[in-house]
Amino acid sequence: MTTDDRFARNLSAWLAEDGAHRVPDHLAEVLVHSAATRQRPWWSSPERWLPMDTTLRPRPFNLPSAGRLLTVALLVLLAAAIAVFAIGSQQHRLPPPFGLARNGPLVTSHDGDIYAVDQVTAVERLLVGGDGYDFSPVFSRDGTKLVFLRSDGRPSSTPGVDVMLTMVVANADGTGVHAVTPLTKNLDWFDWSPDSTRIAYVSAKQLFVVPAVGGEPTRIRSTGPMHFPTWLPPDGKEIIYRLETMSPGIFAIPADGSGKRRELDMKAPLNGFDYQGIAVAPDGKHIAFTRWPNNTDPALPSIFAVDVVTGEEHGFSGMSDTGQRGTAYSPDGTRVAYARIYPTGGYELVVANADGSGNEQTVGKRRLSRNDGADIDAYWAFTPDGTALLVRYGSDDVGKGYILPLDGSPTTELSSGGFQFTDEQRLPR
Amino acid sequence: MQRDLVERARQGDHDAFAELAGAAISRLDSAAWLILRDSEQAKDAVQNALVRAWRDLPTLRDPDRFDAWLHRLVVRACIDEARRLRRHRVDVELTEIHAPAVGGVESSIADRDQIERGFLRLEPEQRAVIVLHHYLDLPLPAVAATLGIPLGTAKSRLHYALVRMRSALDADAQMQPDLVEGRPS
Repeated sequence: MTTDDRFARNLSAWLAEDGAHRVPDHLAEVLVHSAATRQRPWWSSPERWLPMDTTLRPRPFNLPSAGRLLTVALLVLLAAAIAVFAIGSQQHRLPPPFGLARNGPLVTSHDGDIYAVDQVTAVERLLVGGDGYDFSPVFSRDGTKLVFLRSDGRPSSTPGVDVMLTMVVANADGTGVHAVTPLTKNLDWFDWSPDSTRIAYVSAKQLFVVPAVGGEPTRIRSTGPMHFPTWLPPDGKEIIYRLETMSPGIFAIPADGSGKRRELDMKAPLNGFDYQGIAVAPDGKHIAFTRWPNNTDPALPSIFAVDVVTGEEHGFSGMSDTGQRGTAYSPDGTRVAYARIYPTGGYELVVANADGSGNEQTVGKRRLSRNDGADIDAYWAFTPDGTALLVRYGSDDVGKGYILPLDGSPTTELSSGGFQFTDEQRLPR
Repeated sequence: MQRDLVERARQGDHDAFAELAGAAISRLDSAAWLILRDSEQAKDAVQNALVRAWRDLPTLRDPDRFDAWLHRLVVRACIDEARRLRRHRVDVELTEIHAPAVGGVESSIADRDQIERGFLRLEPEQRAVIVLHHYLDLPLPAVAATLGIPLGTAKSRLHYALVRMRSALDADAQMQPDLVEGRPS
């Protein structure tokens, strides 16, 4: 055996040994991404038209000068086409459904129309107008589509008044607007599936799932009266929800309606207000919720998080003699944003460690409560890159949007108006 | 069987694609790891390649070339990934080798340790040609077709990769008495 042979043999053996024992665990992730990706049409590749041996066969002789010029011109055109295609390919990449992503354009609603908002200048551009009163736009997790709600006129924001709404889906650029539900009573709290193909929503405390392309909504039965439906990361096989009874709890049910609900392993509720405002961590391992104590004055709520597997709970250490309410997880799951509530009235937004170890950071200014106590008039969420909060202060009647950077950079003011909601597109990093 | 799956996947059958991807992902993941030597980068490269494979499958002219085409996508994704996140790697622990052993298990272990060090000094493009030929056992014409390069280029790229590895090993062998343990700077 020659030295070269021995070297080649050892090289092959080392490669086989070093490449072995790798058990990829990301097939499901690949399939989620691919399922959300549209295939290219068969005619879009020149290889489909030109035989490979023709396109790659070397020329046996020199071309005449005019031919050379033509060839150079064709090559330049080909290079330009490849460059355009390459840029297009990059734009086609999709962000993961959970985790950090790059910030994209904003979308906002106010006074019945949907607008795209430049993330730097905050300049608005009408995206979806028309006669209907459109509001609450939310990007799909892959950032390619939008869902929003539509009413014939301005919906009543008075509690107890029935509202008839239609759920509408559009492409992220405002094209392809189509209704995905019939006119539905009290349609509420919707959430995109991880693969961005379906939307779960509530109507009259019942759970429905509808394809984003439209079609008959499927009622997921056996949930019991419910609210806060949220697809459980990472695969979205189950939907988490709060059982809305006087003995509430957090349950999970197969998203395709194929099985029974199961109650997550957790403490018995303190009272009928327990397990409010649930938020699922991006890795699906924890669920945060708001708990109201019994017989205390003032009745300040606190937030907790429960381990989905072990059922162990932890609270969030914060400023003493204050309450906490409403949780939003950062995209990477390491931080949470919630409202710190003062017993004398007023609240402010706070960001802290998601494991409950504190490190509270106040974001934005302290504001007065809408009423006395813990009634707060704000919505908030992290930006896709986790560096800022998107906040709406105010009520459905009149609200104003803000981007509040966590590093103390200047606040960006967004629009104001009725039913003001803002969301930001996730882009691949 | 595979041809049928490819045909179905080309026509938009995602279940068929899932079967193809499931059968290939282990092999692709190993190849990507060998080229990139970074689990996360390898995972990203394989994911990008498979999603791109799904997207571009309708444009694949010959279903029988699916495997070669998939290898090509993965190798390209690996090279893109390596270029995107090129960084200086210093994570090779040098183990103590007192004397050049001759023959037997010790010799083999020493050889493999040296091979790893030599391999790590190659550019991703050179690693790719070695992985395709020596790990996936593709003959050189198939390596050339997979990489989209002429056969002569594939031959010379493999030759120079091996020469470079051996040169690195020779240089290491001369330095061994002074390098008992530690990290290369």
